[in-house]
Amino acid sequence: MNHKNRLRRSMMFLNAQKPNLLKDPYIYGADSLIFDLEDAVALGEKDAARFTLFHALKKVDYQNAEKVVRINGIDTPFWKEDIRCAVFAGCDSIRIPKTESKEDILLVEAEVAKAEQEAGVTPGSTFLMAAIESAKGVVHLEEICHASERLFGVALSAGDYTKDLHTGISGSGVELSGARQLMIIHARAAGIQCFDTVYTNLEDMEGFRKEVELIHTMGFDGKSIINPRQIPVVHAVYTPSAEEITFAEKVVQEIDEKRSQGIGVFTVDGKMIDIAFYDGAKRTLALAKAAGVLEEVQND
Amino acid sequence: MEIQKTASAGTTEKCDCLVTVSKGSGGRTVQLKSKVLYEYGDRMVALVHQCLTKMGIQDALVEVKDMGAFDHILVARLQAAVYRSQDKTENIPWGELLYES
Repeated sequence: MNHKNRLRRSMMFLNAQKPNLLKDPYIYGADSLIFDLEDAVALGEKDAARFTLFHALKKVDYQNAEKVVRINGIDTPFWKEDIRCAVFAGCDSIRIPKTESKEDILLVEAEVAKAEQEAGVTPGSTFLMAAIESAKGVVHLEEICHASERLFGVALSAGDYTKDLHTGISGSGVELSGARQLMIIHARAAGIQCFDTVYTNLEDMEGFRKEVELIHTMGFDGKSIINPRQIPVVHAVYTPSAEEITFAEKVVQEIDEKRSQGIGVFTVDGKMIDIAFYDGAKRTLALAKAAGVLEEVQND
Repeated sequence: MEIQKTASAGTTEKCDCLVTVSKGSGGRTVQLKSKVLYEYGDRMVALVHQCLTKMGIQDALVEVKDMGAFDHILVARLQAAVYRSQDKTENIPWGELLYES
């Protein structure tokens, strides 16, 4: 069963029409797999890609990975059938490209609901995520982030976004700084997750690591990736240190204890702590558990 | 359902197969080329027949160039080729496309 707020540190794109990519991507351990029916699939292959996607989702055990399908844009003739295919195949979530308004989300939501009914899928069980790829999308982030109960997050897509800004991807990230900051703020205000764009230079793993560290510091929940080599880098950055885990455990324990004693503010290792630290500490422990390091620390 | 015209789906890349369907001449013929013909040929041909039967197609020539495709990819390419032969790309009956493996 998929959870709306599940861990999504790494979301790996896969071309939905490439059988050799669809057969065993779960072995690399990405938290989410994004089966792409959009940019990766040539115009004349959209129909055939749906058939390979449908049968792959039905037949391959993708284990614990979330199954996300990136549909074609709502300005194309393909997106409605993409949704029918994805929902019938049992996907967990739909990624909406080029989202620019609340209405875009509601349009997709209505079609997903229709497909769920047709396919006999539990109503409301298919989640949505919105890709922001334009200045208009950034400007409308507030309404987008609050558009639907199904929406678990927003993701920056820098290729089209930088084109819309009349610039390109510099490598420094300066051209993305405004969008990144607004996205994380609006996502948090709406209580949803936020994901960074892909890093396309596979030769520059050091640059990639620095970018992951940057977005981790900014508060992003994870990053879109295009190659399995990028997964361990993301997961390493998102794995809390032994000190962070120990501190988080103390915070959770102390808050639980002090709450029952009616004490609201106290210190842990010399730092002032109150209830505001609780969710963050819980999140740290969840990340540690997902990374498989929590037990190791506890056994030290 | 009938094959309306010759149509293909798939590629000759690794793990894929190229399936071409055409009108038959009074029955079903399956021509398979595969490196694993002797190990899995009968099974693959039977799978093609199973899918054609399920789609109600009695008259067809099906040519398969297999490059090591799994069963579900063979089925996906076959079904895509059949629907292409009818120029049908929307309202696909997804719930009816499953097969017995």
